Amino acid sequence: MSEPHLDGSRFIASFGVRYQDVDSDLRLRPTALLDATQEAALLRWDGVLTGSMQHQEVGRGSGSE
Amino acid sequence: MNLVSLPTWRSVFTVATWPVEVGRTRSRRDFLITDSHGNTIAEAAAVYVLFDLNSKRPALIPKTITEAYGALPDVFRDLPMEALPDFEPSVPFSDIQVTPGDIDANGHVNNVRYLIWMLDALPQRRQHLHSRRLGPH
Repeated sequence: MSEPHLDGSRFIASFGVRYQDVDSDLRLRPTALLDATQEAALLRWDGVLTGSMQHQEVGRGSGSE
Repeated sequence: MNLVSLPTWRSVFTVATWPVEVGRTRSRRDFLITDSHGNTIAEAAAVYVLFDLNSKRPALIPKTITEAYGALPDVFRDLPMEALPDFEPSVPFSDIQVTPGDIDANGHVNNVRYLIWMLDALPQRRQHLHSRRLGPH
């Protein structure tokens, strides 16, 4: 699992599926995915606030951002 | 959010995110979630609104924020905000008590808690669907 980083223009963050995140089928609860998207956006915001990833996220989606 | 599949316990998934549009008061960010083999687990989009807590109205996104993200001019546009349909409750509902565990670092109910409450309201048989669509659209 890598540290959050910018890959080209995309912000990338990895998450491990924990026991408290799964249902009785041991599959991730959908809301945990939503949690992860929210955390990724906040990590990106934190990178902006701290200046650690400033001016690297540019352009639009489809991998050309 | 469109779900394709759900990862299992102890697996690892990756979230990629990028800004798609930046309006005067709102911005949209897209997400692609993949498993360790690069297979798509889900795609999602989120619209963020900058809100002035004092005036209780949406606020203009300052240039300092958009410049800090380094977004190119082609992502700047006015996003349409469609009116929500009228709410016509057809089933009984109950009040929900907000507890301290629902509150996040910003001091408000975490966004995901609303979706958890909505999912909790679904019949039990629907809670085991592994492919579904979450969100207002």
